[in-house]
Amino acid sequence: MHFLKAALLGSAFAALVGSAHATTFNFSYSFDPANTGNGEAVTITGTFDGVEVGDLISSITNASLFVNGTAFSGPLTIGGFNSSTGEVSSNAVISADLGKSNFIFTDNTSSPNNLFWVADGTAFAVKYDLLDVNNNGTIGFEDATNAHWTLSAAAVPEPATYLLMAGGLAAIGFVSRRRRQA
Amino acid sequence: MNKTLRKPATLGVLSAAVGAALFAAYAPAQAVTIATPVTVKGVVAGTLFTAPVISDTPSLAKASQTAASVYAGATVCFDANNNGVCDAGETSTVSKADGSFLITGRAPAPLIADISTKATNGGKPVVQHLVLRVAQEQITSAIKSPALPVSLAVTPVSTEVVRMIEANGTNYATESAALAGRLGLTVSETLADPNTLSGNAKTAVMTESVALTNRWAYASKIADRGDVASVVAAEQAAMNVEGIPRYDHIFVIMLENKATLSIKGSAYAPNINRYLSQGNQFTSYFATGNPSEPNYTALGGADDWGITDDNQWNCGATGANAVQDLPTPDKSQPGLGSSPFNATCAQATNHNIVGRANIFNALSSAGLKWRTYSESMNPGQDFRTDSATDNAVKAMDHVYAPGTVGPNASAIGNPNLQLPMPAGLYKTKHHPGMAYQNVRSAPEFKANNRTLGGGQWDAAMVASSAYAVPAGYDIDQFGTDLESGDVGQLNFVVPDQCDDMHGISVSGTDLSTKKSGTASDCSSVSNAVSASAVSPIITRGDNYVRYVVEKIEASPLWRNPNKRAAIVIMFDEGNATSGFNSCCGWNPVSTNVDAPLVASNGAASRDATVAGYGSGNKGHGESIFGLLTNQAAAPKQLVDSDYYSHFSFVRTLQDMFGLADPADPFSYMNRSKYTQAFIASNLTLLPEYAGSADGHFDSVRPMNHSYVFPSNYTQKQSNDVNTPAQTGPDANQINLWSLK
Repeated sequence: MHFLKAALLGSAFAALVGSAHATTFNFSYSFDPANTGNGEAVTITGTFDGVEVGDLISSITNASLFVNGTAFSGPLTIGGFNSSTGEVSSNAVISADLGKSNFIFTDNTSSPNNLFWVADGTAFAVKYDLLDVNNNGTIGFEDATNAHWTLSAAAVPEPATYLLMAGGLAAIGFVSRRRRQA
Repeated sequence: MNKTLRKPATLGVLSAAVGAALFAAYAPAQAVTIATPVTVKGVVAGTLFTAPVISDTPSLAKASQTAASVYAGATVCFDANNNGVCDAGETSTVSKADGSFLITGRAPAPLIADISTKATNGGKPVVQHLVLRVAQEQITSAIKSPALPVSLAVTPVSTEVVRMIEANGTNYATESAALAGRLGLTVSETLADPNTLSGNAKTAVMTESVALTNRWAYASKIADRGDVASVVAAEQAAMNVEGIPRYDHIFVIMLENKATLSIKGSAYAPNINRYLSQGNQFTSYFATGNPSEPNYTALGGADDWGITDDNQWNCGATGANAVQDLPTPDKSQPGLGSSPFNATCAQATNHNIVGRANIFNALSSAGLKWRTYSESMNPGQDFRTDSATDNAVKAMDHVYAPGTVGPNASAIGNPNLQLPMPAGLYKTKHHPGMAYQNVRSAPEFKANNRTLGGGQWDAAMVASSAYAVPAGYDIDQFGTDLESGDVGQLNFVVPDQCDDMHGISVSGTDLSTKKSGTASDCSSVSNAVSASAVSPIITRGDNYVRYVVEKIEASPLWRNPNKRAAIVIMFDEGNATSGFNSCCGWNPVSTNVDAPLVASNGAASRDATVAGYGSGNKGHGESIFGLLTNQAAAPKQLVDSDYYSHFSFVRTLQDMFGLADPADPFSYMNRSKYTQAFIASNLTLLPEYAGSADGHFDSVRPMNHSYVFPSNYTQKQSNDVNTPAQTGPDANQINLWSLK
């Protein structure tokens, strides 16, 4: 009990610290139609929060994904992925360079309805309930290709903007206090 | 597949640290039963077989080619109801140009590739619809993780695993291992896309794939025309054409000139009689001609084409029948210094059969192999010629202790008698393919004719032949091939004229007395010699049969229970020339008989192009036909007394190797198509059958034991059988070729 409390406090702290450094990213991966289930385009889009160090993003949270515009069912498990064994770990890493990326997003590791992973140079996405006219799910599998991948930070206020806003709020507060004292 | 797994934890809003603790994806927490969805990333693969060019002209004949291939444009689906069809509502996709496909399913199910004629194989149009399958268990066994697609190949070989599971009521693990064991490969290699394999594994898988592709194409053909209820049933039927199961290898041991009464129960043939009683026997087996050459020619192609003698294959070969061999045998080749072969042979009857179907080229056309193994040829000789005398090759006379030649009370043979190798131990008249020009012209002809060991002069031949012994000469390629497995699907095992009971004159000199003497066991005896008459040559042949059978039975392929192998022990002819001496495609009259009917634009017509045709196919009584298989579960000690002949055997071989379609009589070669139904439907064109009093006796059928003799029917027999004619049906109707 004591341990759990400590752990929760620790994780809450970590989340707080993490969120302090987290950035929201947008991404998109478009499979070559030659590498999809029915020869038609399969594009995964989405966002996630993560901490960027150098060209690697880790501590991934708050992901939301779409397959050809249809949302992944969730909530989503996020982790690293071993493409040989299928084992999922906690260490998701995402980069603009897919060769350095290792991640999986899935709603269920035992019986997934949808998933998207890039690992060991391979990209795989499937959404079992988004069916084509032949009842085949929406699916793509190919060698992970940077040309098919976009990754960018979402537009958020810069720190200077926060300082300016804080200064403005302080000034407003100061003026208001002077007025009340007067 | 329903799997009981723990409900996974989710992590979306938790920190990475806590997530790591909870992300033990499959640690038990809350048991729920769920269906595991599956994605298959596969390829529809097989082989592109380019059939050989069969031609009488050697320069035009070409060997077959086989390449690993992929099928593009095939409909791939999860066949949830396992009916071999991609039904409406079943998840499907189409294989791409590289044969690949991606397909998802909410739960694993059997997977099939429906390959229509709109698809391509190796870039070439598919000419016959076929369906390839993958067992559901193969898919489930390949699932490593729900997050990983299953990688597999849909191939003719994977289809065979499914068929075996369904035929035997077993499972994927059992049958994939069995098939791998049959091919001598791992399961992974066996079920791989052949494009990804190399070396022996690739060769083995491609060879099997070609054979299976033919079967599955036939399966879809009979399913599509409604002969059977479904593709699933059709694939079983395709492996049992007319009730004849597919064998991997059959060895036909050819013996000479002995009627049933000379062998059955003979004390001079204890081994053959033992094999007959241990294995299965066809007790009403009829020769088709007289003497040897027409019988062997009939065994090669279900007709003797009017040949009624043992003359050389180039005899009477003029005009359109002119010999086209390149080169024609000559005496300059090794072993032919004293060859009896003559480049010309004027005779009225043509012995060079041109442009006719035969079992050899039929096998080659299906990507299957044939071999003839012949004993006691001169080293390196051209097998289109008879073997020659070699006085530099000497062997001692065989000596038989008392009690080893029937009831002999004293030894037979002279231990001091030295016998030079005589001429004619090997005879071309005993080669079932020799008369066919397009067999001799085939690129594989030379390689497919091989040596057979066990001969009296073998050791001396290698050591002291007067002829140049080729480097690396293997005097017993049969033994070598048995060890390696490089035998044919059909193997004619042809002993020399002493070991086959034929008999020739073999004389030599007693080294102590310097007097001439005759070999103890190569003097011929009558075709209908009494079973009690002293017949050392029968014992010699009987011993040789034992030598060959034991050699085959000791081979890795025979001992591999996953390979289906059979040994036939048979004679070319019996003795009867009158009465019921001929059955099953018979030709009793010498006039108004033409070569087998031909089909033109869907209509049958007579073929009067073979001069003297009516002289042949007149039968020569009954002889032994025994059958041994390596299948432990196969029924044994069975007797089938139905009427069969060489034509029946050729039809049986066509069924065994999937070379013909019973619904198309003209797909059977030559006289093997003359079933009772075929004769009845073409009777106006077949005057030789107009006077038939017993349509069953006179017509051809596969050796499948399906006919039930009426209870009041007394069987016809030739007069060279020493058992009473049977009345009524056999004790049972079990197919003697059955595998289980």
